[in-house]
Amino acid sequence: MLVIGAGGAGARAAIEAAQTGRQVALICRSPLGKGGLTPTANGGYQAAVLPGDSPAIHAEDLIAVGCGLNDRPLVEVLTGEALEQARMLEQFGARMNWEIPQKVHEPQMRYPRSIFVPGKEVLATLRRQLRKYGNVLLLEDYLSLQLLFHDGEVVGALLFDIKEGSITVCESKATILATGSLGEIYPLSAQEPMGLPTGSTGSGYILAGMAGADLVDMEMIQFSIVPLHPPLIQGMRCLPWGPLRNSQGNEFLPPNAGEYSHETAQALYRELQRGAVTMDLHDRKAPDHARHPVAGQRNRQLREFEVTPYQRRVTVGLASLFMMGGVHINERCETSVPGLYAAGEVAGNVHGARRVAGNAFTEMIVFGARAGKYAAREAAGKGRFPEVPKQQIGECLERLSGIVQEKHGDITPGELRRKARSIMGRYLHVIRTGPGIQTALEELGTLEQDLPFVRVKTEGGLRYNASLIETFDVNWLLAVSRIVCQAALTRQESRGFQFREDFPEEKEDWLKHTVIRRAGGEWVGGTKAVAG
Amino acid sequence: MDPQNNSVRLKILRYNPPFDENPYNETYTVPVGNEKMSVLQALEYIYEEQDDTLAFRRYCCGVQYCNSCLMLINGKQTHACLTIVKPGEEIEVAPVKGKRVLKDLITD
Ligand SMILES: Cc1cc2nc3c(=O)[nH]c(=O)nc-3n(C[C@H](O)[C@H](O)[C@H](O)COP(=O)(O)OP(=O)(O)OC[C@H]3O[C@@H](n4cnc5c(N)ncnc54)[C@H](O)[C@@H]3O)c2cc1C
Ligand code: FES
Repeated sequence: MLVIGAGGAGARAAIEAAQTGRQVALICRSPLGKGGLTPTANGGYQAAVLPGDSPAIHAEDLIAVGCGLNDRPLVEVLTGEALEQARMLEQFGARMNWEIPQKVHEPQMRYPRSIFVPGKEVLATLRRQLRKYGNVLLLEDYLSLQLLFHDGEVVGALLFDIKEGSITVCESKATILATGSLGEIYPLSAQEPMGLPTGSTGSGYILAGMAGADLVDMEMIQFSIVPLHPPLIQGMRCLPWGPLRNSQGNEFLPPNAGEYSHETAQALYRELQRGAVTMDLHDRKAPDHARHPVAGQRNRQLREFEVTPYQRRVTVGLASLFMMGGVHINERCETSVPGLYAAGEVAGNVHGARRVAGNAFTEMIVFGARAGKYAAREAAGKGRFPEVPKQQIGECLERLSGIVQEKHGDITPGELRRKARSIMGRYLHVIRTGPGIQTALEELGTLEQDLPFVRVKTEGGLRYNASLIETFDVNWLLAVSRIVCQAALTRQESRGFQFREDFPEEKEDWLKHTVIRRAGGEWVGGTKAVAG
Repeated sequence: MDPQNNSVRLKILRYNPPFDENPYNETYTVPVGNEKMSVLQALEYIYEEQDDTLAFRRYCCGVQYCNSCLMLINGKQTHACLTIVKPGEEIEVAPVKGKRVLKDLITD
């Protein structure tokens, strides 16, 4: 079995699969715990624990905030197994803080539910647990370039060994995608702490999509408020909340809008078009360190940086935070392609049109465990390894040699990345229009024409060649940006984090997923029913 | 303005076996304006704007949690994401000691 991506979802999946005795390869483009989003996260893990609360109430709350676009069976799995999986994590040795803070981040939530376990603690725990299994092969610094498929079934993946600069083929009877998010398609991202990357370039969506999997609700991207200036704290989250003021010094947020809501994001977006926005923290105190180790850490950092935002105003921006859409899954984490499973942020139909903060950790652990279990079951039922298609391997190698070939011209992958991000920031932010999206598609098309001419420096060899990796990334980034555009164009209404100025109303007959699917060498848009 | 004070200089120990016989130092100048910067941000700037052959672990957690940015800065093992460089400063950057260097600042 193969698990791609060693964030919380992938690591959890590998443990579950390993328990069944299967041979598991867990591969990741970064060392476990040193990349992706899980290590950056605050650590809220939501579950119904307080008296009076229940998984059913938790589920209703998530679906209400998700504007009905969540697949109910998946939400019920999430809320139903949240507590059991949190206890399991504790059994594995994670230090959890069960003291649930009273404050709810979203006014619609009927109960506070945030248990606390920082991403670092989750990953350190899962790593310790993984070491107990001799049947898990952890391959760090391996980038999956492509899934291999045969007779409509995923049968393995092509891997690029970043350390050696070489290609490896991994055969598998069942493959789990746990590749995280795509926040880096925007110029300002909460997935880039201090403006530095986490590797969240959307590769998983393309891997799945190219193998024929359905990608749903790819227009649904959550944006949140982050500091913009000074650069040392750009993109950093977890500041306390203070009043936002526009360039005239007036507050402008709608009353009772949640911190992570689309109402807040849209109001901020409109103000940012007119001028700078600041968050007034002059009378705020630093968050309580004891309860919130991550906030405590950030505070120490801010002090050391001498940019403590307390006692002053901080210039803020609007940053991509979370991808609600993604690879379509069912309760067993099966995608629409046999042999392929997905879990964690890369999966699509759990959070609907807006995620409630603190439920992504629950998702990654609950569905990570499920993906491991069901994928192992499928692998156990298969006798021999399926045949690996030589032709796909050949084609991929050919593409690769094209990428590293000597080129004239001087287009760098970084330059294409910057241009693509600026297009997405301009036309596909929280407020969109049909003509704007069309323009974005055209401009992305122009950039795509430059892709074959990107120059990769090969004088120092292909080992740890960052410009080569960035070239792979910019290919994914452009492709996934195109998919986001097409999904946003397909949904002719406004719901949650999709706001179309030309279709400003939420429409009953649009209570369905958008689907982007590969057909005839192109990405084609359609719709799919929401599972009730 | 005196350009000298608007930049930081990083002397970085580079080594790409087997291409390089021995490690060597290379010095880069990063314009910072009036802003402080972390060493990791300065390395990212060098990679993006000046030399994309420089190897270091780029992924960042931003919370001093992941340890992927551990390196020797002015001889001391520390987190590059947390170490500040101020306009006018010059610092020395090298891979952590006691581990095999895979390339530049990346160790086994
Ligand atoms: C700043 C911030 C704070 C957050 N705080 C919270 C919170 O408090 N509570 C909460 O519930 N959620 C929070 N979230 C969301 C949550 O962190 C993520 O949804 C979750 O960690 C995703 O886990 P994952 O395992 O799916 O992905 P990741 O942790 O991103 O892991 C994916 C892994 O796959 C690897 N990978 C990707 N592509 C490839 C490829 N092609 N080949 C090989 N490897 C690959 C990546 O390197 C990475 O290691 C936060 C998010 C951010 C950005
Ligand atoms: S980037 Fe994670 S500790 Fe420095």
